[in-house]
Amino acid sequence: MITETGDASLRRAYDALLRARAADGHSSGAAAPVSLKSILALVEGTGSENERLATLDALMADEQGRREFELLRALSATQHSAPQTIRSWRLTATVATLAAAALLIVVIPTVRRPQRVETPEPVRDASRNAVLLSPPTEATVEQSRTFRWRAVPDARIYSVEVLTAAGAPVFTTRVADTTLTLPADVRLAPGVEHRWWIVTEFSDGTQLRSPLRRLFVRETK
Amino acid sequence: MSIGRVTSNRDPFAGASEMSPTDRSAAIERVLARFGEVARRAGAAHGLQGQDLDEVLQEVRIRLWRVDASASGKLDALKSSYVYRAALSAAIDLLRRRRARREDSLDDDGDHDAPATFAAPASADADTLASDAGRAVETALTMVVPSRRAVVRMYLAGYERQEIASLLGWSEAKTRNLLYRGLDDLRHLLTAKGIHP
Repeated sequence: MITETGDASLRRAYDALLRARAADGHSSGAAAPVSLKSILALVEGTGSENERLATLDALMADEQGRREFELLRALSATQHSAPQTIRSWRLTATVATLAAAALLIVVIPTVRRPQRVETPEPVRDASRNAVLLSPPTEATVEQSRTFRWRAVPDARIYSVEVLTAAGAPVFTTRVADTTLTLPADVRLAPGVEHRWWIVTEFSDGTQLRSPLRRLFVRETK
Repeated sequence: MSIGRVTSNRDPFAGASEMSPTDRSAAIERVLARFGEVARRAGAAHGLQGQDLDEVLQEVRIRLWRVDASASGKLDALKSSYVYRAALSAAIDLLRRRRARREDSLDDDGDHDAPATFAAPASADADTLASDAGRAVETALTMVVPSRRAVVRMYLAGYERQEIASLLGWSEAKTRNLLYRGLDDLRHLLTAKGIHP
């Protein structure tokens, strides 16, 4: 099983790689950027699975490509949100009805016997991840001192981690609130890019880590 | 698949009564606000920049105004699928322009959009080690089978299992299986090189 700690270090290392590539001004080494048509096919779920996987592989190896993908993916979400809700509700209702009927058929004529109850592995809804609100990607020195994120239902505590662009920790702490102001003795260097993220810890011990957010502190003139 | 420009020939506003320009404007804003809210929510978790979406929505606003202006009104029945297509078209145009600008910038060998500073304020050694780890991860990833590799990359880029499953139309179980196997592969490859993530 993959450990959370290992996941975090892998993610930081991978993020550092993408940042370094972006800074160098070259992408994953592919001869040309992924075509916009391929990105669109990926977000709309058209084309073969192999083609979509190849597109995804190339996009996720290149920060610029990932940003392009993210814009089209967000637009595509507008088409899936409401109808999917209705469809999934209807599907759930249908499945529940059929399941109830099947249960009656199977359970009534049989002798009751002990059943092994399997508890499914808890799966956290990605939409319950902490949404990072501030500071903005490019912040003044003053703005860079206060971190805010949206509250996550059932969250027990939040870990805040501020990192260098390459993933080295600069400041970490745990808070119950959804706002954190850096202590007076911690100052993020202006003119330097940092990264930050929130790890939401739930009462059942599971954790959900937000995507890394960039933070560039503008130099004061 | 069509990613062409949305033209003004189709009337998406069927079946509604005439509107004053003020009502028309308000109706367009309502439609765009609903659309923008959903898109913003979807992109917020992964750092979609608000100005990108604003730029797209502004272009959609202009296109909606141009749609059959002679039949002012009929906005009540504005179809979300039309707005979606218009937004996609505007986004594709925006991305094309950016790609062209980047190519020009490379040709000129002049200023680049990328931030100039990536220096480490805390510890240069720590940053060097992190960058080395990133390169090692990339090298190892090239040896992971493609179906697992794409999923692992997406996960490392900050997406959760459920999002990956949704994008690829996979079950949660299939996604989990490929992701964990891919991450296991990656760990073994890194460990074999003396790197312990």
